[in-house]
Amino acid sequence: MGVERNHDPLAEIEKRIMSCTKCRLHSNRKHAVPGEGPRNAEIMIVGEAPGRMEDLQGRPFVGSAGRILDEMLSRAGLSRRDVYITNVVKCRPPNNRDPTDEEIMTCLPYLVSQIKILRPKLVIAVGRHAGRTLYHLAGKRWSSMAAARRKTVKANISGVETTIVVTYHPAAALYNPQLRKELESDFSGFIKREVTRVKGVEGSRKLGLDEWLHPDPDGSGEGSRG
Amino acid sequence: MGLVRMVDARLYFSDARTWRYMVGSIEKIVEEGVFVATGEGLSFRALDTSHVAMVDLFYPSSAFVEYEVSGKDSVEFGVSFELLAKVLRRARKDDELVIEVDGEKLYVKLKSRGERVFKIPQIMLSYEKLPEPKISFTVRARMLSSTFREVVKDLEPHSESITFKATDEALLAVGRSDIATAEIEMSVSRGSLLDFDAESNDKASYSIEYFSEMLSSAQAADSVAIRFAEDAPVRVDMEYLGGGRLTFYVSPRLE
Repeated sequence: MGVERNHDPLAEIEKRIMSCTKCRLHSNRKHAVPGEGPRNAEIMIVGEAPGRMEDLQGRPFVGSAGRILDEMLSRAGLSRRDVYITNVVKCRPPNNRDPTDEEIMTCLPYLVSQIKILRPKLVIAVGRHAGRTLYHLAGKRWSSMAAARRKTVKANISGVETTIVVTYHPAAALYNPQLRKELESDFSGFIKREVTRVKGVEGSRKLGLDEWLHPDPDGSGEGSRG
Repeated sequence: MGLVRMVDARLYFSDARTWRYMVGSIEKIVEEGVFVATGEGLSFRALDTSHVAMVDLFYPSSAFVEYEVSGKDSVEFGVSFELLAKVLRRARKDDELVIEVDGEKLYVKLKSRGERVFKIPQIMLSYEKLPEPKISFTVRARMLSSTFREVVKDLEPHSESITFKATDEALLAVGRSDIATAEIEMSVSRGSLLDFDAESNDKASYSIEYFSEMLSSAQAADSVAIRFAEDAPVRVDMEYLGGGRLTFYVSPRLE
């Protein structure tokens, strides 16, 4: 029996998504949009569904909303190279309508698989459908965007310990300057704090023991972790 | 009667090979550092350059055949471990070790039927005492050094990391690669552990490289004590005859 090297389970999921015919959305799509980003990304961005440009190119957040997302990521100290970006629903709903619950539920196993493979430390859900779906996956009660925004929710999604934060979809900011300000404040504020925390964990791998080195007046060494 | 040369410190140890094996591990982790000899004993503490591991040595003065620290509260001497290891690699069975600190000079003597004297330079380093890492350990296990060595040797061909997992009764050491998994279960009831105490079923992973580098020092140790907690550093104590202890802290790999 041969041993498969360079196994990329995320690529396998992406391949399955590209040929998926599980719901009616496949019949109108140009391209399915599985998601993209580094395989070791610790932060995942989850949107709702692909739009027209995404459908044409097969890549997430490439249109005007994508440009706003890039700007927001930069406010949080991130770039696309740092994050894996995907959507709850991988094919474009016709005329940019909201995905139905049935379409979301049919597509959901793909998102769960992506989370299980990637094991992100932080999931940033953009938009109501993305927030609601991630809360559902984490077994949390979703009431409204207003209630979920600016909250960080510790979650376990199919065995993956992570944190969920929710904010508006960048597309909403295209037409509403007030929402854009809110979005900017979210990415510069509580989302940036969570990003810093996650990057801090990453940093501790490099800093190694420094996190545990504090002056120890009693010299016992077995104090509480600072 | 010959003249008695006054030195700053004279440390006479009965088994040079213990130091050969200890320094054999230390030199793989830190290049140089400052030993501190006080009335209580000889100590050394240093971080590796990446700050992933710390070496912490303490050998009580009572474990030496002769232990003299003259004049001051403490005598500090900086050494290059590469150089010290080169000298100590010449230590043979029955060799005794004498370390003399004399001003800026350091004499390392291997004594058996004859006496071989190596004069090596001290390294001028500023000495700043590092704090001891503060970790709330939840799992403690002690084993014979031979058990420790076997565990590391079983895992190192298959894995870049060593994962310790505690169950209520046993300590598991797991190594994993793309093609193979190795799992070793140790418990007091099976005779592979001398002591075991787990407050919770914690798990943590470490780079196996550091454990491979500890093997030399384990060769001379009586027993090895391992302490860890969930995703916290591991503390590995090499316990030597006479109360000497060489401790390694290794920070966890977050996987």
